[in-house]
Amino acid sequence: MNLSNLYRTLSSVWLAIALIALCALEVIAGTVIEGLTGSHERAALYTYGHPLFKALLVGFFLNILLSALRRLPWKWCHTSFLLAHLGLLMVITGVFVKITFGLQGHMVIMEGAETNQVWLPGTETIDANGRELDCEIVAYSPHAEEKLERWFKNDLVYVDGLKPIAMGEIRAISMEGSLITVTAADAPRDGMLTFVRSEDAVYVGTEKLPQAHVAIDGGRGGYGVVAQIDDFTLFTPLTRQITPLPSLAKLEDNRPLVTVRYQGETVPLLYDATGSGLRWPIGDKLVRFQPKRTTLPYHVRLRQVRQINHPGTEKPAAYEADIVVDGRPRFLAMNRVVSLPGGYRLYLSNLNNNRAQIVVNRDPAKYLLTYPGCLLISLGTLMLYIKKRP
Amino acid sequence: MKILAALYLISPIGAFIGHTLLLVSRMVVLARPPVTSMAESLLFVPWIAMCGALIIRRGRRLVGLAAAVILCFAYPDFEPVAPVLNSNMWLSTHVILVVSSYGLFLLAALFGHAYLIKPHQRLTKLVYHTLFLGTAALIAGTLLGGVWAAQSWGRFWDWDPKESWAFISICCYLVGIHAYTFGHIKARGLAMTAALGFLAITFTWYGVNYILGTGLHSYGFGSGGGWIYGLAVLGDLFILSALFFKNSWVGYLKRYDTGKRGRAPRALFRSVRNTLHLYGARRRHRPDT
Repeated sequence: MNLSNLYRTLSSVWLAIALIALCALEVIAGTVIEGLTGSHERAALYTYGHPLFKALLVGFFLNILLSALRRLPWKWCHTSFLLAHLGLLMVITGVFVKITFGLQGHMVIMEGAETNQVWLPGTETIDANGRELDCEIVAYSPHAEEKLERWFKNDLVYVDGLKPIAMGEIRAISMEGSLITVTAADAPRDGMLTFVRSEDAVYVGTEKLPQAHVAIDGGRGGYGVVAQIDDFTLFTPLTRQITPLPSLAKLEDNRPLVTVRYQGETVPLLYDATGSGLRWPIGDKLVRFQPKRTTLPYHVRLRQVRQINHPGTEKPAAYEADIVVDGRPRFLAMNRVVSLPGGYRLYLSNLNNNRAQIVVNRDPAKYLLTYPGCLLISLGTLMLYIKKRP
Repeated sequence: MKILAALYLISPIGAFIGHTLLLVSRMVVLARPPVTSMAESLLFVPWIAMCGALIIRRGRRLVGLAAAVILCFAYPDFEPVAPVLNSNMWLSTHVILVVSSYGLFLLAALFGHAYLIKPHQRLTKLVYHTLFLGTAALIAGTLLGGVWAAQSWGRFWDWDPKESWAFISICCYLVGIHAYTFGHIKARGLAMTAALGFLAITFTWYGVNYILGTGLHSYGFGSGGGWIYGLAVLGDLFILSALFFKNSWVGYLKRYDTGKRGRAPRALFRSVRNTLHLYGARRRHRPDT
């Protein structure tokens, strides 16, 4: 095939029709996958996010560009065609600019709190106090389950090999050295349970609900849970039991597991999508497997978040938030965006009790390419109709 | 709604006046355009189609019949608007444009079916006008939806199922329009595009909310009626297949009746080939022997 034939093929309407049809088929497949699995991420993995789809977009770009060049020298009668298809070129270019240079993330802020950190969903990093840890990945599993084992949960005491004992049934406690002996009413083994009091632990807890985690040596010694009975504080270490599992159909629910090696130590880490869970010790660091973060050039503080209901009903009419951005009060609501210098835009995405999720977006191509392209497509399509009507 | 549906069968113009009054009163009471739910779109789409039929002064009875069928499934509701839809500006632009395009495509599909049953040049123009205008409205409405999504959800386009099926519908019509504009299909092909494209529109309109039930357009979700929808689509595809091969099997039967039986497969092949020529497929040049 010589260059002339190649040029004619690449600029032909048959190629355009074939590309449009292929694109439509791929998108149909994506919606079917999403309908069957309930997972937008899985659909994107096989269709919209697949390199083949990006190749189709490049194919569109080439076909439109070459078909326009084929009509050189342009005349007035080509105006409608050129407008509509120039708009398409601008929109496709805008897509690639957004993918390469844009930002799409979110912030989760409690009322009264302030942050400038933006979470980037779908990314993964081993975070060691705000920095990515340079470590070796020994193993990776797409999904895993974690159980945190401890001796007591709520107001029941759990010991391996014994049935759970209610805290209210503990009759006596005695201490000898570092051993605390507890006598329970129906403890099956000599009526005694033994706990060990650790000298390095920080004790925080209530009498009946020992739910608070404590960190030993700032977390470097592990974690535990405490309970207070009279003058005695019981402590139980937290032990993790992690089970690798196959990937779920709904990728969004996956919790990947990664085993990392650092300074001769190996530790398994389960993905923490919110980045608010426990950090685990490895070497001289405390690390967490979480999404990547980027720093916004602004500090955002959430003053108040509220849901406005339709009068006389419990149904929401509007979601609103009062925020302060670098000392300036701003109002955020559904359909009311806060635009900041530098092209950053904040959107109120979700609110839950006294916590707001704010989407942070930066699209350098929006006003230069995408929106003007959309206008040209609409205008050009209308002009094509007016020009070509029988 | 059933009274209005029955009235469309008796007097389309009278029913249209009543329909208009109903929509205007809803707008006044609710203080917003009547396009925020499936129930309201079932009222609005037939109204747009009848508007188009009255403007071009063709197809009143046909559209009246279609409107009567659609209105049988319509149910009035006064649900409060979801927070994300609480914007009259976007309801008046994006949603009105998109739902109006559904009405125009309904009109195009009706004219397309009519053309496939009995070809007429006037019908070609009607199919062309309604198809092209509908596509222009759908493209503009979909792009405006992207702008609204950027304002509400923080991103222009994310292949939400509703967005995806709007894109698929646009692609269906663009394939037909490109092929017709460059002479690769003729009027029958355009009529078939109008008829088949409307099936994609019905899935965008109904299937995404009631069959797929996923995505960010969740304020329109419902369930039920999937099997009725499926039957309707299969029935229409069967009718379109019969119309597509009408000339083939009519020609084949004629050959069979006149005694020129030949071998059945060859006769059928020739008939199918003649049908494709009607849709614009090129004849292969044969040298004279």
